[in-house]
Amino acid sequence: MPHPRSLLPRPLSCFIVEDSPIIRHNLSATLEEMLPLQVVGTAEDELGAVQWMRSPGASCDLMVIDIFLKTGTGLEVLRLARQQLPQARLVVLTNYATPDMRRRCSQLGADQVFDKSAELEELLAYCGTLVPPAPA
Amino acid sequence: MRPAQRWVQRLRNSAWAFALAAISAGLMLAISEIGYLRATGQLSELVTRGQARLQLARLVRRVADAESSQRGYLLTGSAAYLAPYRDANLDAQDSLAQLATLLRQAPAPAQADLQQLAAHVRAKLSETDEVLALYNAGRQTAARELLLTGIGRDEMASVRQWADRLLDQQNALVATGLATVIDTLLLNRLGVATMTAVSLLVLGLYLRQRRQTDEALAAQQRLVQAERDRLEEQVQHRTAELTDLARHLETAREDERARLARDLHDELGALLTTAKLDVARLRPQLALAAPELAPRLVHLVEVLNSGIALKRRIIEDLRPSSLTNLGLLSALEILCSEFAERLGVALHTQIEPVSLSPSSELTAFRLVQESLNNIAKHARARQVTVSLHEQAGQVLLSVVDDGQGFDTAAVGHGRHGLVGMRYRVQAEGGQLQVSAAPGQGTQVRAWLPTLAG
Repeated sequence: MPHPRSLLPRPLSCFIVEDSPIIRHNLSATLEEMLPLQVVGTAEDELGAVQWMRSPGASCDLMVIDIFLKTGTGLEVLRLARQQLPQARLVVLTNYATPDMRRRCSQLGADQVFDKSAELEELLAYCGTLVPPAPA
Repeated sequence: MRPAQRWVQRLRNSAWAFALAAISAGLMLAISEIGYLRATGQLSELVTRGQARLQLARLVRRVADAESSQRGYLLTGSAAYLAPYRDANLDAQDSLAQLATLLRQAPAPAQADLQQLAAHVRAKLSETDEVLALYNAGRQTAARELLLTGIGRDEMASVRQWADRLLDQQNALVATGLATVIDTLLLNRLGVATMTAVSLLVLGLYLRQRRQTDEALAAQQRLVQAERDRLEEQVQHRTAELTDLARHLETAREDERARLARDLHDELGALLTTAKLDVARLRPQLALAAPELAPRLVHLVEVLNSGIALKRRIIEDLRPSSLTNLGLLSALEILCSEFAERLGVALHTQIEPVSLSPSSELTAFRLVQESLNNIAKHARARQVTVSLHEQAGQVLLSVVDDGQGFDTAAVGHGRHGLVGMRYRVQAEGGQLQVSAAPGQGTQVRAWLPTLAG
């Protein structure tokens, strides 16, 4: 199912906050390969994510946020993203997808919470639902 | 060496004082006895002298009475004078006999004097008897002539003379005896005074020696107390060192586990996640290109999931992420429910929110973990109760089971887990109590200081 990008109205823009380089790289590649999606930027800690959000013209359709970062925490990124990017879908991807963590993320404005190892398929499926249907 | 010398000194002093006391008591007794014997001897001698004096006086008087009665009879011819004459005569003889007895032990000159006196008394009495006999025979002239010879008067004078002489002797003896008694009493007095002084000296020595003994004893006790204090301080110091060491080792161990958990989580977790991402990317293409390989892919996903689960379990064992992420209450609930499920025992929890420092929370969690592991390994329990609550400014954590227990006295080096736990709890400023008996189950209780106080 080839999908020439030029034919689509516009690919989903995605920003990834993830401290592991290998996951960051592979997640970007996977999302871009499997979806009409473009990773517009990544950050490895809270400060990098905040700086990007506050930079002029920062905008995206989807933000994938890891909770435990090298410095700072994804929860803070989540809180700020809800204010700065009200139209963006915020997805939390974490190794600590406990009920408590899911509750706290929802309270801070997360749209979805996925377990980093067990729920990758679900993440991809969810992202798929965000792609606007191709024009007839 | 100094205490030993003191002991020898004390012994010497003590023997000396004791001997002195004994000698003083013996001397006092001897002086008293000698004084008593001498005084009583002298006094009975004085009594004898007194009696002799009385008898001498009586003798002279009765001889005079006899003479006077004889003269009365001769003048009046009345028989009324004869009876007193006979009485006086007999009394005089009796007195002589008494004197002989009383002066039996008198010196030889006194004996001689007494012989002389007796001779003159007998001569006087025989003279008067003779005169009376002549008179009664009707030879009044012969009687008068005999009377007029003056023999009677001379004899009477001699009687008086010898009696006075003996009396003087007796008086002199009485004076000497009295002087001796006074000397004896004086000697006795001096002896008692001296011995009293000696006794006082011995008492003083004894008191001084006792004070020295008491002081030496007190010094000894002070030394012992100081030594005990020093040892106690040393023990406390060593215990503190051991506690510090245990805390350091525990901290190092926890740090190491945390590092290992982080590495597993970050590195291995990232690898596994990446592998799953690869599978996700492979899946749609493989479904198109080689659908027959789909089961292999499913199996690969299962293997990866097993790897992820294993990684999680190892990390959780190394470092209870639930504790950091969910807090002590939930972490303990999860630990307990997993344990109950794994071993199929009835586990009751009575867990209330408590305020503990993070390191105390970890200690509490590890304590429950260690206790449950012990129960799993040894106890064969059917019922286990884990409780956590605040009590009088402290947090009380207890794990109680109804298993076979063990003999706490017999636990040697086998259960390092509990020993380590004890140090760990102490390092947090708390106390651990493990009570158990064979067949009575095991009770592990820990008191930890609350965060506030």
